Parts: sequence; C-alpha cells; structure tokens
Amino acid sequence: MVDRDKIQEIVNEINKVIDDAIAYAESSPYPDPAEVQEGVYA
Amino acid sequence: MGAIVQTRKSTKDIAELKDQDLIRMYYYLKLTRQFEDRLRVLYRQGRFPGSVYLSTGQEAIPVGCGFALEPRDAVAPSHRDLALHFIRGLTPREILAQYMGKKTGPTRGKDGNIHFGNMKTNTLGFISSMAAGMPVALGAALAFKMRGEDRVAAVFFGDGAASTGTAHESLNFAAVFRLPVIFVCNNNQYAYSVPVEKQMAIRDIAERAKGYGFPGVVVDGNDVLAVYRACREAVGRARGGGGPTLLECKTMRMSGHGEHDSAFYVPSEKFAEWKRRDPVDRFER
Ligand SMILES: Cc1ncc(C[n+]2csc(CCOP(=O)(O)OP(=O)(O)O)c2C)c(N)n1
Repeated sequence: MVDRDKIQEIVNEINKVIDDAIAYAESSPYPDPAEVQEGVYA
Repeated sequence: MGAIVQTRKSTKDIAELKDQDLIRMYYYLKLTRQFEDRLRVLYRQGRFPGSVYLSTGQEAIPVGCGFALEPRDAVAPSHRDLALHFIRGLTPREILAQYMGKKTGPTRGKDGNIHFGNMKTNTLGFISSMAAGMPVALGAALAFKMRGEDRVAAVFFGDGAASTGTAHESLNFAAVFRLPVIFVCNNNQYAYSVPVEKQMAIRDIAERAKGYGFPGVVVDGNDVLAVYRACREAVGRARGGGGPTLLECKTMRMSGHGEHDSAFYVPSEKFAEWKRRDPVDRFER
C-alpha cells in the first residue's frame, strides 16, 4: 500500500507542519491581562 | 467468567477501512509521535512553561478509537490522547499555542499543556483529577439518551484512575441506566511510579465489567486495527441501545509520567520488551 518513499514523504510533510506550528505559536500574542476573568465562572 | 479477550486475526473483518483510511490512520500515528518528540525537545530547551505528558507508545488507542467514533459523538480524552484532538480537527498550531500559553490556543492562554477540551469538536475538557471526566461523559451520554439522539460518549482514562471511587460509581451508573458510553482504559502498566500489579490484584481491569453487568473487553492497545475493531463493536452496541462497554487497551507508557520524571523505577528490560511492540512500527510493517 505504501513504500519507503511514501513513508518518507509523510514524515517530511509532518516535519513541515510542526515547523510551521512552532513558528506560529512563538509569534502568537499572549492574552491581554484584561481578559483574565473571561470564561471564569467560579 | 473473565473479560473477553479480543485479538485481530486479519484485516478482512475491518473491510470498511479503505486504503485511504489506513493511510490516514498512519498519518495520525506518525503526526502524534513526531509532534510529541518535538514537544519533548522544546520542553528541555525551556521554550514553554509548565509540564508535558506524552502518549509515546500509546498512540494506537486514541487513533483506533478516534476512527471508530463519529464526529457527532462526545469524547472525554485523558492526558495521553493527543491524537484524538488531531483527528477531531485541532491543529498542531493550536496545540503548540496552548503549550506556550498563547491567545491562539484552545484555552486562549488560560491553561498550559493538555488540560483542554473543545466544544466545537464535541471534546469534553480534560479534568486533572483522575477519573473526574467519567461522570461528565456520563452526563453527555445521559443527555443523548434522553433526547433520543443517535450519539455516544467515550471516556478515556488510565489504570490508576480505574482504582478510584469515581470510576466505580461511574461504571455502576452507566450500567444501571444502560447509557451509550464506552469506557476506554489505557492500561499502560504504571500510574506514575506505581506498577499495575500494585494497583490491583486481578490481571485484567476489563474483568470488573462483569460485576457491573456489561461487557468488558481486553484488546492489544498497540495494534491500531485491533483497537479500531473493538471500539467499533462497542460503539455499535451503544448506538443500538445495548449500553456500555469497558474496553481495556493493554499498552505501555514509554516515558516518564511527565517529562520531569526519568522513570528510573521502570526496569529497562520492560521498555525493551515493549519497544518491540511499538504501535507505529507495527502498523508500518
Ligand atoms: C484523584 C487524583 N489523585 C492523584 C492525582 C495525581 N496524579 C496525576 S496523574 C497520576 C497517575 C495516573 O495514572 P493513570 O490513571 O494510570 O494514568 P496514566 O498517567 O498512566 O496515563 C496521579 C496519581 C490526580 N491527578 N488525581
């Protein structure tokens, strides 16, 4: 069904997705302290 | 009579899975493994605060069950079910943002690591107190039943959580009300540093189901197709009004409880033995 090349392709694709996720998360903002009580019910 | 032990004899009895589905299963096994390997490195580099709990070696359980359930079903994942979040549509971007405490994560920076849910994907939030997700999943299952909805709930927990009073009450409640729920126990041999033989005096947790009055099934938790098949059967039973199932997936936690824990108390031969049964390698073969 899948050969070594296809597996390598999947591994490479996932590595790219993860690199992108790290860059995205690191450049994302922290929440505004003013929002600290939003969604807190107790 | 003990629990039913289920093994996968061939892929013929899961003929509904097409090649494309099998490749997607493989993708999620690999995505979870590679993502968590990277998480471990980021943690050691101090690139996010707090702690990290990995599912390395156990990925076949959330992947197999994730494919056996429908998106409309409710899931209550444990801290070792990252793959379930991926399968239900959360992205690696969102999950890393969660670890880094950023506004773009599912809790919008209010919590770190794996303590989150997502109502858009019918994923109940993970509660840190062991087994506390069970009554919440029962609430969802009870609501589905009362409203006559064709939906089931699945709750995931460990062998340690199975020893709590909450687990007993939940299993009994589900049985009495014949709720459409699947109890998925990942028996990964350790609850923090407590080995399973010091956790219970029986061999299979699934055996307990008989005492509540519903089926208990033992499955090889490192065989994604066996997990899929067993969960599919349990889901079918729940949808058909047959009530709950306790699915015990035998596996091994291949790291410490969290990345702060070296797992010095696990004999190295045990790791070596389970490494040979690695769920990702096995599926690749
Ligand atoms: C009621 C309760 N007691 C103790 C703890 C501390 N604690 C967190 S995880 C854990 C071990 C859990 O083991 P298990 O249920 O087997 O799950 P695993 O981590 O092995 O997947 C413990 C004792 C807790 N969170 N909740």
